[in-house]
Amino acid sequence: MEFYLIAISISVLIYMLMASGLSLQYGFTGLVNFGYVGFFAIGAYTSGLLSLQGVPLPVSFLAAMLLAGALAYPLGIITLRLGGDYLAIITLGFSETVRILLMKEDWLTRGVHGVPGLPRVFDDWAGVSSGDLTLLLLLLVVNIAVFALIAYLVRSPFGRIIASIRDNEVAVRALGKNPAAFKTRSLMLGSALAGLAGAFQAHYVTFIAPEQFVPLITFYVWIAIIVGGPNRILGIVVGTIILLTFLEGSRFMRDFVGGVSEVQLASVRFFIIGMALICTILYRPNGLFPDKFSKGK
Amino acid sequence: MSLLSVKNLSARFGAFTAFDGVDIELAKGSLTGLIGTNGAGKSTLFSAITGYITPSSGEVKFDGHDMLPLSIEKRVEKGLSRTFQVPREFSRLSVFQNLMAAPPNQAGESLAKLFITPGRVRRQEAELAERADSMLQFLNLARVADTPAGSLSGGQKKLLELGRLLMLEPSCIMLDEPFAGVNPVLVEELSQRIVELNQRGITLLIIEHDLASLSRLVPRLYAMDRGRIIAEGKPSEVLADPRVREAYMGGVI
Amino acid sequence: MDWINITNAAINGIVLGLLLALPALAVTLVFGIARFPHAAVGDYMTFGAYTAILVQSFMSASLVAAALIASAATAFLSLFFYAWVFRSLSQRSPVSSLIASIGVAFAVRSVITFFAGQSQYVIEAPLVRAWNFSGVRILPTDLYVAATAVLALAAVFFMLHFTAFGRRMRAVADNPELAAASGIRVREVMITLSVIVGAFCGLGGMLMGFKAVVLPELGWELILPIFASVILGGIGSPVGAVCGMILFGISQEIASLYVGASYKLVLAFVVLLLVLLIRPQGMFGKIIAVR
Repeated sequence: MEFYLIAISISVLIYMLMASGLSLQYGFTGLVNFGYVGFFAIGAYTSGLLSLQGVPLPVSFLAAMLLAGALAYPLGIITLRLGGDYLAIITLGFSETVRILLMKEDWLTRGVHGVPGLPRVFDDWAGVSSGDLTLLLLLLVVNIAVFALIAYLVRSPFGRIIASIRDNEVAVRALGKNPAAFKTRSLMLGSALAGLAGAFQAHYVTFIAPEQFVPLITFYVWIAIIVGGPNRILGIVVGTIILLTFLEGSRFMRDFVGGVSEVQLASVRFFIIGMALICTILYRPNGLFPDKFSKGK
Repeated sequence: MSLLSVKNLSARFGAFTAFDGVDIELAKGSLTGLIGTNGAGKSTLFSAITGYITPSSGEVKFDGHDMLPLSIEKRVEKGLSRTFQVPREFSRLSVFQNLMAAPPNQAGESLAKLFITPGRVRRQEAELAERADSMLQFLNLARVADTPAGSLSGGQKKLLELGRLLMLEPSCIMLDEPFAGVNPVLVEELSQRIVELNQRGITLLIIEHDLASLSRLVPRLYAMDRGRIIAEGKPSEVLADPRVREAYMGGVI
Repeated sequence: MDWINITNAAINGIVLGLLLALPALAVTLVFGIARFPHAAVGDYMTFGAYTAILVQSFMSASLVAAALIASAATAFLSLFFYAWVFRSLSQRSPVSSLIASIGVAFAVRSVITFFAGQSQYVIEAPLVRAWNFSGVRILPTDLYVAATAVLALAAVFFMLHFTAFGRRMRAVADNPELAAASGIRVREVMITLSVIVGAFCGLGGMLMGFKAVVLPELGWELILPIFASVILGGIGSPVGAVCGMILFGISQEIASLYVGASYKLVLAFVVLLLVLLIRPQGMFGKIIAVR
């Protein structure tokens, strides 16, 4: 039971890190990133492959963040000056391209077989899962640091501008400010957080494969941020916990409902994800915990 | 001496002509009105002058600079700013934060400076807060400083939008229907503010539907109909012009 | 690579492009009129393909009947989601509709996999041999597919250009603010649009299943090529969507001779990047305005 609790908590915290990054992009800036999992994948593979070359983990984690953030730059520069929803399409294309390259470029990624045997973040020191326990604590510290960073940013003049862009981009231009520059920075920051989450994921599971980075993961993170409230830290925390409770809970559903095949069970999960997206947007656009200024909107 | 000079400006979209051969001259420090019926092309003209749409031909000069090659943002930097017919407030920001968002070149807008020189960012914020506070006093919005801008009345939103522009210290402001949907008490207040701004030396061009408020306010008027300027001069002369009367036939005159 | 292979690939590309021009036309109209990239069109196509298989196996309907029923059923599906989801969201930022369209896509696909599973299906059709012109092969079925697509496209182009209603629709796509100011009834336009979206995606999906095999991911995997072609053609431009899609189909088929078929999505991504970088308004369109 302890092992299970530690495992599920680590998953929650890795998802929460991703949710923070996407929330910075969508909740605070209004950017629609439908390829978030691509940046997660870049982080996982960068750190994973570097660590196998003997690069120390702190360096490979940093590289994961930097590369994921840097790849967001050209996507932002190309699409964000145009306004409209080009970013959603281009990021979706990005994540699918990343996944195909991971599958096909075997010389680098070993293709669909994946890369096993990645080093763990911490070795066990006393009991069997004490390494995971230390990782859990580290993730907790990282998440708190990220929340502090987001809280500082959104209260700063930078945060004011990205919130203004979210509310009315045309008016920001009427003030003589170039929205694309600010949006690109927010996109890069959020994507770097996805890269960091990817590095944690890679060295926690110790195995990476393209099938772990399907578009569905992107929309899991979307569910986490919009159900809770896309621009509230409380919303991110509660949304992620709701998501993981659902994902874990539905695994046990088969034990209670007889005569359902594996495919049907997956379909039901998929259906609930789809319905949650539709219903949240329709009936609770600001999530369960709207900030005081979003109420009644 | 002319601050804004529009020469022979036209905008056509396929078969549709928004406006055609428009000439407008605004002297530095002047206060000018632009009237016309719905669909006369006034707002589209504003959008062409400020860079939101690209005109098909003509010339726009502001303070000696050719404006047409410049982006919206660069035109604002040169001192030419505008409001919108439907106010574009930052609805989920407080009224105070709406004003704080406006001033250019804030240190805290740079991610690097936020972490390297947080002290400087804080000092600049304090200075801006003082300016924003006095702006709230000037516009009589101090009472609602902390409410979200989205919940203001239509008239208050227009005041706020004007205030946001004033935080930029522009030399020329173009107001798109500032009185539309505003209650009479606020119209009076808004008119007073406009006159005060003009006395401070700001050049103003005002699109308006409400001929009565506008003709009392401005010494000079342009009239537009079906994409063309059909009359210009003193309000009394323009309103007496037969072509203007025809355009407004059955209207308020 | 010899010319015969390239010619065959090009012919294949034209057929594919014509077929996918049906959903592409739907996407460009939605993008132009309702201002969001409709991410559910792919899964509407999948729905059409599975409907065709269902009516074939249970009602042993003919191919033509299956195509008609698939289009009609998908049109109903599209209308249902318009009435339930997109109508209420039309007053809000297009981003809401965009996110909801992903939800619609997932919901539709999950219902399909719940009942039909993950296995492959084929649409039953009489086997025919390709005509061979000294190496250049033409499949009669491809001709049927192309002819059907051309007929359907012609019908919509006729409506868009030669009826008052169609002209109004194009006016809305061209400039919604102007159209709203001139008093065009948006509700009617939106309902017609939903029917076109559904019928075209349903038909397109069925034809796609006819040309290849039917899988739950059939449509989803096509949305990137479709979006890329719509942007290449110019958002809101029906002619652009068709030309963009045919051009894309040809490039995709020829490119896959050299780099392998699995890089189709990569090609879509590269095309997207290049168009947005070099000519964001596409071949026939304008840049979509900031909301």
